[in-house]
Amino acid sequence: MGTALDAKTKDLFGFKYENGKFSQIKYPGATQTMVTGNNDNGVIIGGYQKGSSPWTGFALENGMFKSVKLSAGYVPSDINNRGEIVSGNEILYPNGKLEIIYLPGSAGTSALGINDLGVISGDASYGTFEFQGFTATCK
Amino acid sequence: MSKLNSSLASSLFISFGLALVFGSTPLFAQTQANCDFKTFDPHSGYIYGFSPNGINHYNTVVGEADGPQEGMGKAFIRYSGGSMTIFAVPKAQYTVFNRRNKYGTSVGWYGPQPVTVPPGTGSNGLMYTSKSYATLNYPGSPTRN
Repeated sequence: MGTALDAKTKDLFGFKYENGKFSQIKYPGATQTMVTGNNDNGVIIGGYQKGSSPWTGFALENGMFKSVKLSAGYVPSDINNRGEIVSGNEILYPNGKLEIIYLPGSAGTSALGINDLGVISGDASYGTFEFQGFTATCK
Repeated sequence: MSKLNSSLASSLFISFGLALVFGSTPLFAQTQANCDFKTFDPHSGYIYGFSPNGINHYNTVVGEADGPQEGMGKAFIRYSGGSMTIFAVPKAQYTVFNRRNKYGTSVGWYGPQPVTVPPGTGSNGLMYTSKSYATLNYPGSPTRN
């Protein structure tokens, strides 16, 4: 899975690369589509933009696009095999529960990846040129 | 498509989570997750940015660190034991890992410049193993250098 740039329009579109062949992934009616992750259950996540509207997240499963109930303006970053999705400072559980991830003492916390055990990778900022990485296990 | 190839092709360009957070008006009442954090620092001198983008089944983290000069970024692999390695595609100003599978293959991108929402013109998809790296670009896309 990935995202590429259209040579003519300069808009983004998602793609799948399988058995040496590429196929495009475009959200219906969207100007731009990006693919940000997938899991072993065939769920693909990403975001789309219509015109100059804010990006909106989606999940693509069995050929059907579904909305992802993150906060407005958030696009999913990663999904694991349990269906847990991270984006920005949020984690969305398969039951619809949405929680904030915050590293105490930081000015900002971002969850960027999540593995199949539920361990999250991300970064925390503390000010100009002050960053830390983290792994986190959340309950 | 084999399991290995599926993972290889996964998520060449990811790490948009932070870049695409335009607003933060919650749609639902949110609670703070109860998390156990373990922190780590980038290599000395990589002070301009740090993005641990992906984590695999073995808790190996991959990402990108900005430095040692401003406007440059290199990919990193941090193993669960704490050791960290840096990788850069030769002559690339930016090299980024986004995901790593359980077979030890990392994917990401490299290019001549940082981009807020990759891929930008001139960036290339990247697959990396301990022995080699390869470029993977969508045919016709102006992402090739």
